[in-house]
Amino acid sequence: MLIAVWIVSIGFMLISLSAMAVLIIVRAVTAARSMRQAEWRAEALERIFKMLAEDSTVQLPARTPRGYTRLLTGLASDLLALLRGLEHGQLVEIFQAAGVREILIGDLRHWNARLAQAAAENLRHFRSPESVAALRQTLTHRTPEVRLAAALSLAEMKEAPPVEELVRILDIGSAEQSRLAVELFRRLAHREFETILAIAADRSRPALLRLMALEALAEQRDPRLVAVTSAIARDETGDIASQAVRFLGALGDRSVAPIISAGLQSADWRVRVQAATAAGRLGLGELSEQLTELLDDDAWWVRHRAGEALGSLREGGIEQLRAVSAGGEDRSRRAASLALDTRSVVARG
Amino acid sequence: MSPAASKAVLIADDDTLVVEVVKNKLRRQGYRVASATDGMSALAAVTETRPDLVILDAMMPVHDGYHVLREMKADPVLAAIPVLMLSARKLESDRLTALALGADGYLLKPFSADELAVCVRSFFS
Repeated sequence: MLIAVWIVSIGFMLISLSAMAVLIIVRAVTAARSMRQAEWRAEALERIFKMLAEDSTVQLPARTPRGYTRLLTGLASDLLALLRGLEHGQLVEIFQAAGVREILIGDLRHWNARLAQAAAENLRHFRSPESVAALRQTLTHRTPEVRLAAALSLAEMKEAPPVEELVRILDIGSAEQSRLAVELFRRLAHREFETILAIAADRSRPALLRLMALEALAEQRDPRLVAVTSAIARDETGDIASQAVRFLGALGDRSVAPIISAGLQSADWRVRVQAATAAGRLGLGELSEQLTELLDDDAWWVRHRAGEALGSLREGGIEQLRAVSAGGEDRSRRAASLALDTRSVVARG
Repeated sequence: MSPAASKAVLIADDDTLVVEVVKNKLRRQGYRVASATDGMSALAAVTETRPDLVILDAMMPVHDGYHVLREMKADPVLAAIPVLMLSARKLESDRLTALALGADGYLLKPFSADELAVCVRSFFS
């Protein structure tokens, strides 16, 4: 019996020692790999800085290990995102000579979608017929994020397919609902403003798609946007209407006052919030009475935005706030006082 | 003697690549460059070494760049050290906040290393 216990103990000891040895070896290998990567990185960076400083054509050291090519693509991504101007152009040449473009084109087909997405994003720096062809093929990638990244890069290279085709391929408005889709529309707006405006105006399209199109165009302050945005601001869905009201505030056209006024009376607090903000941005003094009433709104956010809007009105707003803070109902008095305090802090700051 | 000779610059940024790029560029111009990677160590380095110029990132761990700037400008000994903000924050309000707190310049990321060098030189000319 004792011998059996002894043998089992010896067995456990051997297993433990083996596990420890494996862990030590793994740790040593990882540390050695990290050190090697750090050395490669320092060496590559030193050469890159030297090339940038001297505008020389010295090449990066030619190594083929996978770790080194990953390091180079990572450095290319970070440095190209960090630097602009002459150095940016020099960096593109340096990394192109080191074969980074070919590595990125290969990465577009990588099983790891994150790697493929990074490659699609970074290829925008390496404009060439090969890059454009590879990115166009990537528009049918199985992963939506990779497809979108490829479309963004193509748009930046001014090589993107027509907007309608992209909306269909990328399924924007249902599968793609990120800020990146808005960015894609923004990059294409110079070329296809009318098409994107038509998408925003088309009531048969998904509401999210219309809002994305609208948001991308809103910063252009084109007068043609007012009618479309005003129509969407009347949408029954609160989140859609509130976003449209927000864009109305950004367009800078005071003729939308009746729509903003209707928004201030909306049953949906999100619309009232955006309408109050828009009234302040547009300086709609004629809505100061309505804004004053909203100082007593059930929603704290509405009271806050109404106070801010009154504070930003040139005529009458501050007086309204002072009057309410001196003798209004408890809730509205607090909202008015907060708005006045915030103004004085900002003015002092 | 070039304006860069013997001038000390502190670059505070949590992105080590930014630190390396700025260090490399300015050292080639003849500046002595030290670095910090968070707001607290940046403040400690400023207090200890009193550099001739501080290049500050807005978003850093522990204390952000605005905090460092505020602390420097509140300290009579450090208030005169010029501060150049190097930030990815593009909003006008961010720039105005930095300038209102006493920053002497504001450069946006992505940046041009040549432009940064010219900007730094202007503080000493």
